Amino acid sequence: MNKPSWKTTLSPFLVTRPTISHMSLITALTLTPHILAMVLQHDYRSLVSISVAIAGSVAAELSVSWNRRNETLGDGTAILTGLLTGFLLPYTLGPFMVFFVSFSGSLVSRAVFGGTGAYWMNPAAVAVCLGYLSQGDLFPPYLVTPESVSAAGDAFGALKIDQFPRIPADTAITDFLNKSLLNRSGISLPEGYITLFWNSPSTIPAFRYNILTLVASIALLSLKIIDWIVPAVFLATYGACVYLFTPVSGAIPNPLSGDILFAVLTSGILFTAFYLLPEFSTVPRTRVGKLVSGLLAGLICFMLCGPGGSPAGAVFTVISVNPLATIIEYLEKRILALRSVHA
Amino acid sequence: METITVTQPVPDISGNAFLPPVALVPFRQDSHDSAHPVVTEGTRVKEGQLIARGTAPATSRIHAPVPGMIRSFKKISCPDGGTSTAAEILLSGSFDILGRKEENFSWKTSPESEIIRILEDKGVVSTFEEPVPLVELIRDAKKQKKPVILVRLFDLDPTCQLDSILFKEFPDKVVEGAALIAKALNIRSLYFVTDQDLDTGAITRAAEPMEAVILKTDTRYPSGNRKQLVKILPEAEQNRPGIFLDPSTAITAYEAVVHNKPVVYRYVFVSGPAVARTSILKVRIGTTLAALIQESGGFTSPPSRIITNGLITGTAVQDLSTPITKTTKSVHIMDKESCPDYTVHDCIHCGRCLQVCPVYIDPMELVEVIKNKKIRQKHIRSIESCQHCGCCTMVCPSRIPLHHILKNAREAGFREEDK
Repeated sequence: MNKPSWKTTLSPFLVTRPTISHMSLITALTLTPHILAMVLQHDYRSLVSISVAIAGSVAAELSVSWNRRNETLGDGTAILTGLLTGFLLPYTLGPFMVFFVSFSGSLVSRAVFGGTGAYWMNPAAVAVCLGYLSQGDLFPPYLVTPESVSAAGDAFGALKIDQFPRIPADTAITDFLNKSLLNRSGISLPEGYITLFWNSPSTIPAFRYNILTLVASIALLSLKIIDWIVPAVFLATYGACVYLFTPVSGAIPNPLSGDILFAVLTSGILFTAFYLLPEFSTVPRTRVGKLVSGLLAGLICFMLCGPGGSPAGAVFTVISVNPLATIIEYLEKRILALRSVHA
Repeated sequence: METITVTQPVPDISGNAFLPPVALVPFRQDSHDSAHPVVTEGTRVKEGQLIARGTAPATSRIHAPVPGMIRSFKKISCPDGGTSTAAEILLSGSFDILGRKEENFSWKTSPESEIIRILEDKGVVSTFEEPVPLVELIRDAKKQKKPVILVRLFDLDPTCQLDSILFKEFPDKVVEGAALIAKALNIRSLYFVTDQDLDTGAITRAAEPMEAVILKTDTRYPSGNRKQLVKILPEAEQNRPGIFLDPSTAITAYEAVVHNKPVVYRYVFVSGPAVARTSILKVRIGTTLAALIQESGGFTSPPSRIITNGLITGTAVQDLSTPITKTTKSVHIMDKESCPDYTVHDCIHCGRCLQVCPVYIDPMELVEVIKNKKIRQKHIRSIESCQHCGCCTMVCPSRIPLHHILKNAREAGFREEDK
């Protein structure tokens, strides 16, 4: 396919949104604090893994664009896809496997389903799912098991019983927050959540720095790089499901006792919510469509990730909900045609 | 809803611009063909003297904006992006209009034909949307049954601001100008559409003996375009033919009929981050952009683009020697930072074009079917309902000129088998 011949400088001379290149650049820049944190913690294996994933995605994009005679590397989406893939893969996978799955994921998504804006499934999610299906044993295990949850009474309790490594400042920060802020409202934060917020123990970089991901999400939303509807509805639905329906004490549901914080801060839920799910190619285009998509993602995520701690449930949620967007979009078009007639 | 914040001060009218030592007066100052000169090179002309007229009645007449000698006829670029032959008039001699006592013609007791004749003689052009001679609109409307006159008291393009300011400064002239056009059409009532609360009593008094009906609309672009305005008319009036006016046209009609002045000047709003002073100047037609910018304090930084008639609906001008014409409302000088990046990328399927479209069409789907030549009847209907407001293009992160593609497709026409 040739380059579009639409290049023009006609009106309007005002725009409300940044260009795709700027959007890719800003999204990548919001991950800079995560990378700095890895550097400070000497986590070079993760950094190598991310770099290799970028190389894999760029190689796939070059192959696709060469085949289609359409240079698309300039918009920065391939680099961003590689970056996100690298963040979602465990460094234990090794550089060769990381390159292979990143290359394959991008190639499958972009070559089979179409380039930017046309693919049905998020290329980063496809790559991670490929990695999990081929080398699932190299992904981290579930943080909690049904047995440990049953024994402890809740998921976070089970995690504490398993003696997960907390950051040194966890106790001090928890004490400070409880005394200065939370106790006044009759709330007490147990120790361990600060670790989940700041540096959740995982070989997958995206699962770790939840606080940085939250800060990044503010930048993404305020700069209009992503729409708020899908992540907000997804998180609300998943959180509500966890709170209402988490089964503890064996298979017996114990309504209104699920641990939302634990669920959201493990499994890379925040990272998935703000970096994968709002990908424009894979969500419906109207506000109602986005709302339905977010709702379905939340429900599917609860089915796949349960109370939290899943190594790949979030990315499987993404590739499960992505194809549903095409059905929602079909319905959108029918509704739109009716509105257009009445306009 | 998408919100754009454009920070530009709203000035009062700064007064008359300096008279241009050399006026470049294009013979094409509306969307029709060029008028033909009735003077030759070397002729001495008076202020307001007819210098060109159309062979067809549709072309507006052109008058000398300044007294002087016609040095030459030359090809120049126009503010609408096209080119035209222009008379180059060297300023000299005495003024026949400037500084003289204004006439006061009693249009209320004059026959319709007399008002129409004056509007034609003085070369009044409607600038509501595509510029066309006002008499052409009046004559077309007279052939129809019970036409409607609607005056939009604000700017379609909010970055232009001129019409809003003109109405604020000269409300009586605007209302009376519209009323005399209603008289020419033999209509007893006319609609005024505003986007803010107004003193309705003052408008009603100024419109006498016509009946003024004031309607309110919201301030969101594109609430001022023809199709949106029709929607706020009473239901019985919506299917009637109409003449749509803006304050610029109404004031010009007022000056032509009441004060017997041909169209030799315009109010022009000069703004933008690359110009020293935001101002509204009464500018002689034929004054170059370079002179206008100099009068507004010159450039403060290297200009990136010069836009006439608003940032949303306007045109980029390449040449500083482009003159002000009867249709120029504003000049916006952009610097590098305020100028958007226009590199076109593939669509990312964000759906923003769909969300902002005021008529609920799917611009990107239409562009795809145009590109792939798979246009069907339903697509033609959608393309024809497009208002070309540019909202879709404004929000597109891929910078695809969606509304231009739809407009081009519509203008190119559709094959019979598509219909």
